[in-house]
Amino acid sequence: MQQLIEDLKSIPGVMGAYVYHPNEGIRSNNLPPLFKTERIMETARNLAKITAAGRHNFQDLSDIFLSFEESSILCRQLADTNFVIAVCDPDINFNVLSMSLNLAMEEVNSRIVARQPENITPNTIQTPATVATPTVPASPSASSSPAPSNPANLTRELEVLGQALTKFLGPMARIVFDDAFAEWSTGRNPSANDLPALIDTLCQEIGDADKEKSFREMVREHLPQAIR
Amino acid sequence: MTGTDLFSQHLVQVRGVEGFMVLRNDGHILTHNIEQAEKFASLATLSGISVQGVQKKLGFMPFRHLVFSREHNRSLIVFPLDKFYVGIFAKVGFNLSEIIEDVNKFLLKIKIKKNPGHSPKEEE
Repeated sequence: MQQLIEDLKSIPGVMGAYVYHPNEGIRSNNLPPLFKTERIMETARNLAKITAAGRHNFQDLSDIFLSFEESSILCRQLADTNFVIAVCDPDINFNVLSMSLNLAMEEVNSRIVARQPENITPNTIQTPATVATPTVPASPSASSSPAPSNPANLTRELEVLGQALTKFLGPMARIVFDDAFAEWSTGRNPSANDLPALIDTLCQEIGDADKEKSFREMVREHLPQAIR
Repeated sequence: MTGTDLFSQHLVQVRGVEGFMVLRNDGHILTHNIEQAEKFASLATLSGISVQGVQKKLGFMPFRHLVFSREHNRSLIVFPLDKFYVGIFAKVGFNLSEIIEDVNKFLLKIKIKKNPGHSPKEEE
């Protein structure tokens, strides 16, 4: 995410950008200090509302662009419910900015893919092994060994969840899964009984009612006991 | 010519404009030539309220326009005009910046022509 907003800031006319998550607040930010955190949080909340209203009417909504005398603001919701918000000069060309954001996202995605273990073939880049062992450094044995932080030996279950998530979030799934797994496993000794909580967290990250339903159905096919 | 006639006749002549709606900032539609105008009027009105939230929080002047951008379908552009909103659906493949510039020119003429307290509705 940091790389994405750094790429955005390098575009002429862009003052800075930040990434906002509705539940977690500001995740990354490189705006000038005069943009106080509380202000950009409130701004992001309003932009999220506008985006939600827009998506209600337009399934294929890509960007929200707001033009003021003083600045322009571009807001794009990413697949994992993060919002990337760029603050720009007032007369920046919207088409150029939007295209630049596309390119920056492609580059970030390609870096994420490049981070996948070398022994994973293209067909398995989005397979659970790469996603389902979030606390284990990528290694040839990572996909075949249970994670050390996985005392209940939930390797298969986590693989299924990671694989399903990848179908909905693409290359971002790994990052999202890592975060969700870390949150889920903190302060507990994960067991199969805890899987519904992890699934709920992943559904929040998907952030789309229809996709959440499909995700749950996909998981149910392989892990019926994990769905409440 | 009524205020709504003015919009009806001129906005459709702007290159790249597929449809339009003119509404009060409470969502009441004054004129339009699009399908499901009520639905999009609600979107424009509610979004306008949120935009005002952004404007106040950042200490900005009133917004110039708001774009709901879609890659392969017509985009919606909302312009504020005093106590009104003008919504424009842009044809696919047209440059949004050019459409915005042309519509702004038209709206500027309206603002200049308009007497104090004069509104499209009141002209009817």
